[in-house]
Amino acid sequence: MATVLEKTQTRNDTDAERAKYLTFQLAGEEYGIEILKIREIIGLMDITAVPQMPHYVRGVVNLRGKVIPVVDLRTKFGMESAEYTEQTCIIVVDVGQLTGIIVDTVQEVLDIKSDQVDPPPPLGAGVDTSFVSGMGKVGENVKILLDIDQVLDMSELSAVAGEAATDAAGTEF
Amino acid sequence: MSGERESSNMQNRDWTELVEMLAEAAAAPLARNDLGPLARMHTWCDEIRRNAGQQDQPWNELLGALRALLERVILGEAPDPDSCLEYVPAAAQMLQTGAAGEKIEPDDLIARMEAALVNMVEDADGVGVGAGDEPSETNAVGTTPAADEPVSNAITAMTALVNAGVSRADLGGLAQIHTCCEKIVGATSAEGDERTTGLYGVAGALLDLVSGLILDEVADTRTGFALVPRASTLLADVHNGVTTEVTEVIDQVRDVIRGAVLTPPAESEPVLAPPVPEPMAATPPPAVAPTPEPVVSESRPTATVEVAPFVSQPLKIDLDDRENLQGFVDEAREHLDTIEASLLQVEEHPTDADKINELFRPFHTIKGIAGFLNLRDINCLTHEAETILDMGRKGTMTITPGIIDLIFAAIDILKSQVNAVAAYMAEPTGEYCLQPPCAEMVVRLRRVAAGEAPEAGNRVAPAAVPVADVKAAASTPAAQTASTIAAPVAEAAKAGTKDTDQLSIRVDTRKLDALVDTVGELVIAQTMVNMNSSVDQDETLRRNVTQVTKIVRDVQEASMAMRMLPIGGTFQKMKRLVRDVSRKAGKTVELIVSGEDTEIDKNVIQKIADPLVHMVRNAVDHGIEAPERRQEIGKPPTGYVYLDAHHEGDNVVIEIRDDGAGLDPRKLIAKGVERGMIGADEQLSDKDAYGLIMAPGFSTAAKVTDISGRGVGMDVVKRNIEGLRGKIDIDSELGKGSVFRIILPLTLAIIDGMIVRVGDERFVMPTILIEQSLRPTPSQITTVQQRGEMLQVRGQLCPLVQIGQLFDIGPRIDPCDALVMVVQSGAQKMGIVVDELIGQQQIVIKSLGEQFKAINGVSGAAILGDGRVGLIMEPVGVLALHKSRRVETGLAWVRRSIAASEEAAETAARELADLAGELSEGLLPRDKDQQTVEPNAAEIEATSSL
Repeated sequence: MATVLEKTQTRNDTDAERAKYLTFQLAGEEYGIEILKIREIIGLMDITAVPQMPHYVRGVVNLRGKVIPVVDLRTKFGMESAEYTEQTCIIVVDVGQLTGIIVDTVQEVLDIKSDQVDPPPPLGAGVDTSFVSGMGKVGENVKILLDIDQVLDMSELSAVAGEAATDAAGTEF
Repeated sequence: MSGERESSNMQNRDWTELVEMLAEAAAAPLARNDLGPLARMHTWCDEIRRNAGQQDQPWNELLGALRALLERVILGEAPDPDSCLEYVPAAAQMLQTGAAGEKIEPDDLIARMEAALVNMVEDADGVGVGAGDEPSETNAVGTTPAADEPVSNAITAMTALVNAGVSRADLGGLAQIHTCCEKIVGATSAEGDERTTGLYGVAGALLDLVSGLILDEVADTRTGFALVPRASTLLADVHNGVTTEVTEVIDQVRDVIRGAVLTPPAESEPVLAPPVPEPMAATPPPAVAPTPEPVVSESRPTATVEVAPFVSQPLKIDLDDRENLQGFVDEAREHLDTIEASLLQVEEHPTDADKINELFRPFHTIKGIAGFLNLRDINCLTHEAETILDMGRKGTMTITPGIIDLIFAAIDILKSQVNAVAAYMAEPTGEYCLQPPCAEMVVRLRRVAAGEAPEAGNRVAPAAVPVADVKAAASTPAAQTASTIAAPVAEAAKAGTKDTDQLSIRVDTRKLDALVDTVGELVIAQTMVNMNSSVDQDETLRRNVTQVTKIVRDVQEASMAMRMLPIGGTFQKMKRLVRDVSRKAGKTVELIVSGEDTEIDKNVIQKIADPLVHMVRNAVDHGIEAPERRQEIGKPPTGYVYLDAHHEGDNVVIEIRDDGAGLDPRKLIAKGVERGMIGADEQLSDKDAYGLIMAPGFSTAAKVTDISGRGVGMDVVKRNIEGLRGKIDIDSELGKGSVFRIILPLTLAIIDGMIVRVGDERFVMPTILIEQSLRPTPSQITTVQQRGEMLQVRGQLCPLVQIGQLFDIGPRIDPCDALVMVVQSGAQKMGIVVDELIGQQQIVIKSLGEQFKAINGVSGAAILGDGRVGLIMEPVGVLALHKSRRVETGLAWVRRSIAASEEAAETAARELADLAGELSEGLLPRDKDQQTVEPNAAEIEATSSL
């Protein structure tokens, strides 16, 4: 898997006009992540909860000996959480470090040309578009292209845990 | 190869045939580097002796002598192998003659051969004259008088070599020229007619030059190499009586050796390359030149000793040579550590030549490799330091404390130079490697070598030394160096690998880490197999699995052991530290080190170095009293700091002990109170009081010097050590000294862990932290104000932690129905309530990654037998979290009461309004009433959110 992806990567580097995206569904909406960021797709597995984490961090899993965090994207986006099904997948993305994201279903890999991508439209207050890199128009459909680094910006996470830590330390005496 | 095969048939072969073969082989040109024929001949000698039976006595003796000679040459034990080999053809031929039945008289030849082996060879008579019928080529050159023969031979050989071209790359050629020079010097003398002294002088100078070139000690290599053919031609001329004017060339050679940059000799030599630009000259350094001003280190004060200036040149590092460079960096660092250690010893025994010798060797190695890798600054710096040491070793200079200090300073510069090379390799910025300036140091070292007092530094001018003396002094080290190196090429080339080849190999740590990771996987997989229920059903399978388990454990231990290093290196650094700190503080402190061989994981060693530095510095700076004070209280003026490492079970204990003032618990408590860290009426045990010095904040403002002041950064030390899953323990006796014990796990990668179940989750608790596990009886449980549960264990009260609630994964568990693990958390004990102990297992620790770094109570993750991830509990964090939760619970109670009072207020308001409405319509508007209540509620809310 990794080698195939690496090959894709080199090919894509030379062709800036066109990028490959892995598309997946989340509560009926269609999203895409640039394939360069994706390491592999695994089925759902037992997740070990980690305390003091924001609710969207479901915990950690064992990816062939590596312990990686798993984020529930529905929860992260403030969507209603759903029962995990056979279709539920963990997409392992590389955002500096490997992280799993839980999505409803994985769809396909699409070539999206840069002229097919619109900038994210202003959606008004209440909708955070900072982690949307663009809207990809593929035929009739619109795919929401995610800037996954932004989505999984872990400095936020550390801050949360850090707060808990200072809380704890502050009351030690 | 063929020799070996032949030897098997040899038993049957006629020995006379062997003698024939021997003579034939001996007649061919022999070289000591070509061991094949020599080895074959040696074997034949053996065979001949075995098969020939009783030959006459002289013949046998000759055979034995030849065999011995070959053996010595093969083993590299012959002092002058080339001249030894010259006897071989004669001997072989004589043997052949003898074998044919003729009478031989080998005594003379045997004597000569034996003499050659003990280097008593008298060349005066030429080679192998005894038999008179040898085919030796060397004898053919016989036009000059007999006494000149070796000289003319050597000169002819040298001329041939020089004509073939000399270059830095051809070390073999240089070495041969070196040998030729030695021969000439050996055959001539400083006394005698002009011709002899001329030859002696030129050859001597050339000898030094060539050895300088071989060792890359000559700064101006171009001129150096240009001078070789010049000197060689001159030698021939002098030998043939054409000229006796040698001083000019000798002076030039000497100048080059001394490092001066020369203008080329007047007559244009074909090989002569344009000279290296004069440092002062206009050629500006490249824009990125590392040393901003490659000017001679300073404009010399008038009266200082005149030495050759040194200019550091832009260092271009060939990154293709990365492997060699990395090897050099690693090795140089080790050597520098060794040097520091030896230097400290030399400081104690400044006249002990052995100790200086020990110091000399690592310098020499660094110098050799640095030269090989074209690291000129490092090369020169080490060379100059070495020169001084060499003079110390020879007794021509006394190693004074000033010199030691100077060399220490040079070591510091060397370290930064080596670091610069490492940094450049890690991140090549610009065309050249930035080098810390060293020119000044080189010049200072040169001055000291030339007789200037080291204390004079580079500012104060000492009494002028006559220039001639200086010249002589400056040239001697080179000469001495040259004469001490027996096989300079071999040494220079091999120095890099010699030490490590036999005992160890260097492995990239990433490879080791990968191995340890993989072994970790193996351990996990093995555990999974072990837990498979079918294993119990099949006896054979069970036995095999047990066997595999054992092997896996061995592999694991072996892979762990590979990462282990003795802690001695780190301890060594402390010696230097103690020396520096004690000097600065005006104390005499001796560091006594033991247990240097104790092995610890490399990662741990790296991370423990800084805390150790801190603690040792504290011990010297604050622990040990000033000498006067010590004498006042009847202690010896010299303070002692002891550093010890040893194993205790699966832990390593590092102990820092001093015989200083000790910690005063009362003062510590007083200060703790003053800083508001403890209540004024709090009763602290002495141990708890010592623990205060490691509390953050205790130290930062620790300007109050009436306390021993050890607080400086101790919180950092504590944090570092806890980061290594270790703990620190302090003991002290007022007036007698203190002991700091650092207890560390052997490795960071694998621990013994107890797997426990809490609700649906499983956690791991490092076994070393568990004091006991028990199922408490209700009488052992005490609650405090319904809020805190306490467990009474062996007369001690410790808080009970509901880990499930704390981690938000489950409800409260009744400890009397479950199990309590009593664990050590920092200085405190606590009980952790768990549902079940599942079992003990070797745990490969996995990092949770950056984003989980700040989690309290969890130090990492482990992959359990079923492939799931289990979190590793970290008691200190758990307790901290527990305490904060307790406060939260308290807050919740306050919030609840506030909410209740709000509610009450609201009800009251409503009632009031109702009442008001009832009483009079419109007189008191309803919402106005509300307003009077609301500010109150808001106030309450504000308080509650605090």
